[in-house]
Amino acid sequence: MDPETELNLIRKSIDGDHQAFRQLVESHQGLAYSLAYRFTREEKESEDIVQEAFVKLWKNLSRYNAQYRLKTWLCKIVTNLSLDYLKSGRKKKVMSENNFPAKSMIERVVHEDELESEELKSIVLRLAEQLTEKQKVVFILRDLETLSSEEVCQTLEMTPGNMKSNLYHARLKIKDGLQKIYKTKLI
Amino acid sequence: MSCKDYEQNIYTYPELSAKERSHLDAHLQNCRSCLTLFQEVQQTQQLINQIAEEKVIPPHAARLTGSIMSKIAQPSKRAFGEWIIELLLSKRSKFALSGLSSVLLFVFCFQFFDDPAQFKASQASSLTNSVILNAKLFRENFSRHKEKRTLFADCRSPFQSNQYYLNCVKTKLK
Ligand SMILES: [Zn+2]
Repeated sequence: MDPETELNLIRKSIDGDHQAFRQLVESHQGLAYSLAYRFTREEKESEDIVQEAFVKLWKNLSRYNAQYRLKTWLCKIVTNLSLDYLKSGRKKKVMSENNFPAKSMIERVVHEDELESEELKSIVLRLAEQLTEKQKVVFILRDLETLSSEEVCQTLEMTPGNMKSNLYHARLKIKDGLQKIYKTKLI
Repeated sequence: MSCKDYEQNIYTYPELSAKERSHLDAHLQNCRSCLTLFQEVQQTQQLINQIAEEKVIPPHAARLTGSIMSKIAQPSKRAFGEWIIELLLSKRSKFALSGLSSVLLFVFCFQFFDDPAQFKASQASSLTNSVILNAKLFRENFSRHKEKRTLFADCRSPFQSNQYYLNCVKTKLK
């Protein structure tokens, strides 16, 4: 959606036009869901977060600052709701018990000649779960949702230096985690 | 600059400015250990890119849109402060207060008549007058309120926000 169309739809939505808002929902809910899912890794919870995010957006639309794209504002709302959820303890215990490094996974990895790409991916995701909150947020927005550096800074109200530092620590931890598994495998 | 100083930039190569990048490139050409680290980081990033490319899509997109739309269609709960302000500004408050004062006057008046020792004809008649006056005021407010209610009836819609209602009332009052 080009910025002009988007702004037009936002203006109509502020005036109470539900059809205009529906178009905004349809074009942005995919991103919102993807982001929520990257954080929570739960389908139902991600749907709830997306719904809550759009209701918030609708209620606060009159305060929209045209300087920013709707995307960054939405990402901010979804990120905050996702972090609230992760902190709330509502997240199923099963997930934390499954936390890396799970013995069964390492054993499986160790006994195979080559690391399956699917397994590698799931290891990366589990390593990402261990990051600090800021590192995790920056990593998910920048590396998984592939937002631009400027968009990440805008969404998180972070300086470029701060973002880079968090990104560095996140990537370092993930790379080191992967390397530890490689070493286990070689022994 | 030492190798340690380049470390963060090796990890954040895509985020570097052109100047920072050429600075690092020059170092990588002369430093084997930093080049090895750079290649390792690139490998990990490739794996992460693969994860990023696997798009996560909502499994029930249409249903999701539907439930969002039905949620915003519900009239939102009014904030208490907003409600108080609207109440004080409305004719409803006048109506309620004049009704209440009429009732109090009636009660007062009957108590007065019950006590013959304190009864004075002139006082009684002035009291009766004020009771009648109050009742009239009450009736006027009531009928005016009813008028307004029908006038603004079409402003009330479960599909519109409070802001819409207030704007609609404002336009009608103009
Ligand atoms: Zn070096």
